[in-house]
Amino acid sequence: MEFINNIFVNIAGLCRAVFAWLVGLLHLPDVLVDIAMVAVYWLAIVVVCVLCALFYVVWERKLAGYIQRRPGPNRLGPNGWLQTIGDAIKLVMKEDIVPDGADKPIHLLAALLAFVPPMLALAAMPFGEGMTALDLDLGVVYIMAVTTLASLPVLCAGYASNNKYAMMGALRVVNQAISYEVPQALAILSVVLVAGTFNLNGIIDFQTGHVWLILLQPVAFVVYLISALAECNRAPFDLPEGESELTAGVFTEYSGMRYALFYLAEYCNMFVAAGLATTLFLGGFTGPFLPGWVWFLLKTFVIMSLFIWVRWTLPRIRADYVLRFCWKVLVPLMLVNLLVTGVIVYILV
Amino acid sequence: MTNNEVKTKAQVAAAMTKIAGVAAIEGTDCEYTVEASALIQAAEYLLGAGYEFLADITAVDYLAAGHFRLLYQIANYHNGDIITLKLDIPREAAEADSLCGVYAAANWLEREVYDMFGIKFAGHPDLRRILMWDGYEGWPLRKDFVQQPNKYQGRRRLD
Amino acid sequence: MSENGNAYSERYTLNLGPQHPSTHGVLRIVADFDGETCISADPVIGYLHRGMEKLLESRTYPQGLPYTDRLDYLAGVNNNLPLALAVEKLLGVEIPERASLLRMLTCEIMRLASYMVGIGIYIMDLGAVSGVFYPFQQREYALEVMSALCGARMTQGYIRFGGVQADWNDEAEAALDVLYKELPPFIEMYHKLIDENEIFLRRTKGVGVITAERAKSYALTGPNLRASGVDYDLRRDAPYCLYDRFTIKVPVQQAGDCHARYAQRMLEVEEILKLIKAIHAALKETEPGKIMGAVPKMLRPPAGEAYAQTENPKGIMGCLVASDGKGVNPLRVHFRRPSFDNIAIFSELMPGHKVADLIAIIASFDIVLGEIDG
Repeated sequence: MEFINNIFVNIAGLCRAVFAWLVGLLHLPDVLVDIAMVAVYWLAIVVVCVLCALFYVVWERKLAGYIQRRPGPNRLGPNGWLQTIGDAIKLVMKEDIVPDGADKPIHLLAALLAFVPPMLALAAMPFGEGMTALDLDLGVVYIMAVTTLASLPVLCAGYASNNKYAMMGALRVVNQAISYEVPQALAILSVVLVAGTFNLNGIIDFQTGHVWLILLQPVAFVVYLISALAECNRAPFDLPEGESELTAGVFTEYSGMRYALFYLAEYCNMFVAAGLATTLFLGGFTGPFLPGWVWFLLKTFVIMSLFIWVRWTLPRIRADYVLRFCWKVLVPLMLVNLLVTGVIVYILV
Repeated sequence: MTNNEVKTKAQVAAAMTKIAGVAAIEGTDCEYTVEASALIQAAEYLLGAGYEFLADITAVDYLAAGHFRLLYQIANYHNGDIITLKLDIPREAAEADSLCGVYAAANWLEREVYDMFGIKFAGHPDLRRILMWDGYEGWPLRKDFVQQPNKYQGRRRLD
Repeated sequence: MSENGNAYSERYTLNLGPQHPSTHGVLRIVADFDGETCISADPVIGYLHRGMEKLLESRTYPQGLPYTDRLDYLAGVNNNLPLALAVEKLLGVEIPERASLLRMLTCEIMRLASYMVGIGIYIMDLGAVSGVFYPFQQREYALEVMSALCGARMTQGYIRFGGVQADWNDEAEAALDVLYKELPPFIEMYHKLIDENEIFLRRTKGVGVITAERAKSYALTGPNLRASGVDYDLRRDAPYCLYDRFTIKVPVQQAGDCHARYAQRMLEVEEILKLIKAIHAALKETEPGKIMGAVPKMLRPPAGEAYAQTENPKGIMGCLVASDGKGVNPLRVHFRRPSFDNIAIFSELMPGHKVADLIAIIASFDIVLGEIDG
């Protein structure tokens, strides 16, 4: 079990050793080893992220099917699990339509840039013991800063499409993203206040030493999940892509591979949010018997399933209620939470 | 105008026949022929008598007899009595007064009659086609309607 | 352009439809918006106009009957009935009791099926997509009954001039028993799922309020009218067929908003089930076999005009038949379509609401475009 727990750390160590030997052999500067390792880490993150997104595409549809009394995809592959391959092939084979008056470079760039914020955030995510590509002392702040960027490509997409529906969707995205940053930040701040550190591995150590932070900060957990849903534009906050109101909203003019990019990016964003939730509240990669990274994946799976369950059950909230709910309910609630947490921490420590 | 009392058909008959231009049709107790000038007066009386439900306005093209017949079905929200007003108008000068000032439902019903028969309603705030598109030529439900063959309009260019 | 203090905002025109997932068909609403608030709304219809009234003038009476199913295609038999009643009024023919009861039974079953679509699509348009699958399962049970009875699920053409097409059989009896078993737990589950949902209440309460006065002036009918406080149901107040034999309880809501229209339909579903059971019991007491009155082979109704109204799932449907006494084709057939009159109120109702409210309003009206365009 120790071996499997550390398998990826060992592989990384092996890669580093190979690069160091190559560099020594070819008499190249030592810094190339680090650069090569960065490339390896980046590749690993991309692979993990994309694989998870592909998995969750099928899982979402199957779970939606079970909620709706129907089987979901069950044709492609054993019980339908290879559905994503079919989806990917279909979307790639579609005609790439860009509307006449659209801003063509930004139209494409928005789709590509949608992947950047989740990749940046996953760089600092502790996947397992010693498996953090970028173990920053301000890891929490870094991830918060980077996830804010996730709404920019959507805004660009809405602007570049030259379409009223898309424009309305883009405006709603900006509304939501800016507003729900605040309760999310306050929730994370409450956790940091209890754990005493911004370092993600440090927060996990705190939870190993004491108790999972979800038990100490239940309100912050719920508010964090709500804010994460809003940041990811998932129902009940999926107004930007308000399917039954604005046809496809921001993504009206995106078809084929460009749409696929946004679609996958949405799952990557959700994965980041779920990963952060497990790290901050559910103890990260710790757990008995199984290797750390397996626990991490299992916990994110539970949170993602929760996201999917909420999406397929609740109706959509109206645009002005979204903002009203954020500023009049969540922010005061989190401020009170922060105050109470601060007082208790001061008294007990 | 709210009126909780709905007058019975006999009471309506007594008051309607007093209006100049309205005559009861023999053999029925709720159908009346109305002259063009008496239409609005009759409708206003019916509204006041508790018949607030303008169920239908439609037209029948009696080509052989040379006139359109406009039929107004006015009912109430209490029982099943339906008062029918029949108005004959000549085909060459197909015009009638609009009931939009009396019943709000008349708006779309009269637009449909205009669209299908070409009957103009004086006083209608927004008389335009409703089922056919705006540039359509012809009045489809007239008996002498000959459909224009579909014209090829050429390829629309954006320049 | 409007000025809110120092902010500059521009009015823009948005087309909701005709291609749109939530306009229940090809309805187009040309709406002017200032930000997210609607300033004016103009419904444009006619995208599904098939010229039914003109077509019926060149068909014989029985040939024209199946066309009517396609008006409110969610409840086929309910549309056959006004045409049949109007022509039978002209002919002066008497309908056997069993045929009348069968007509009423099938109309109520399809009314149930139509309501299931209405409330399912309503909650789907608000965003909770899963909420459409459960009512559609109930609709399946209702359609199974119709399929067993007359062979067609959706557009049945079951009601004919003088009676009905086929007699009640054991298969339909078994299918109806399944419906009796499955519907009450569904109603309870749906109440638990939707009624207290905070988001649903926020989206529908106070939205699209229609006062009783405006409803009456715009000739609104059906559940939309009863949700605004006007207690009028043709089956109870102006009974046709044999409805006067049954006690029909008519629920009424006072609020007149989208939530009231939803609550109205849910309450009416329970009443429909009771009515189906009562009609079914009465049907079992009549002798099987007599389902068609004495009607000549070639229908030539005497000259005149007849107008008949029935209570359809969407409202009051009326049919005017004018005959010239000589031909086998009608001179004029006109349908008073409930959804057509229902949506005339949109241009007065929608201004002042947000985009999302427009969708909620359209969904709460439960319209079907086949009926609006004819």
